[in-house]
Amino acid sequence: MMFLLNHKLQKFNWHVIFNIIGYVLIAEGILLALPLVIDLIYDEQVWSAYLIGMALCIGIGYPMSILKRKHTSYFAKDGMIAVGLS
Amino acid sequence: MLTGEIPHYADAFFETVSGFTTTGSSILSDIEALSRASLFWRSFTHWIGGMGVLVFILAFLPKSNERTMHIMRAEVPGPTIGKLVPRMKESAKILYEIYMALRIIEVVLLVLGGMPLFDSLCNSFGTVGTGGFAILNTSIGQYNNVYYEMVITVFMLLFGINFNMYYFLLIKDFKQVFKE
Repeated sequence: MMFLLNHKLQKFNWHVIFNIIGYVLIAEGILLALPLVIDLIYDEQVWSAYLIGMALCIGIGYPMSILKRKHTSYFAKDGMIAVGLS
Repeated sequence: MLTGEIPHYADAFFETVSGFTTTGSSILSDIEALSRASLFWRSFTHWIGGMGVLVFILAFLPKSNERTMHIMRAEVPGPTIGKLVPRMKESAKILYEIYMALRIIEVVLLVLGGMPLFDSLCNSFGTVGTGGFAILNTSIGQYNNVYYEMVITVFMLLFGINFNMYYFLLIKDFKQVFKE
């Protein structure tokens, strides 16, 4: 059973999936700048939380986005996994 | 969680998933207790999720190729997906431009009606994603303003329609509009 699952998981192009999730995290990190600006305008002192969130998203997302791809092709199953995980 | 406004992980996870999937369910009983930054981000998740996070990535980030169709197909609901133009990246851009233009019109109409800019931005995020996150405990009803309700109702309908149709309307392809 475990062998079968492992075999199926190996069929996915994980490098591409991680690349896509990395881009999603980077985009979210950049977009977190908006609530940060809102907080600075209204001065509600939660900006540090958004700054940490930004750093975490970009810090995790960037290494994922630059992972070298073994092959660039990906298929519907990889798209499904990428959407599900992101 | 980091702001301390939703301290439990499960609650924060639920609220985030509800936002990004534009479900609109909430665990919060006192929405107004949140900071404005959190209210903005909460509503903004609807805006991102409304078109799909990955459609956003396709539209604005490099390295997309002909195979991005697989991502679009997985992200967009329904059995089929229509390409507006041959390149998927361009299709995603067109969809986002329509999405943004409609949203800007809604914000302008709400502001013209007297709604504060911050409120109109957040309420429009809730409308565009058709999720319905509001920034007041009793939602739009708290304003007790028929004009706001009318504008938001009309835009809820407009955002519920297939966006491809707007593109075909713009290029005056009425045959495709009726087909849609």
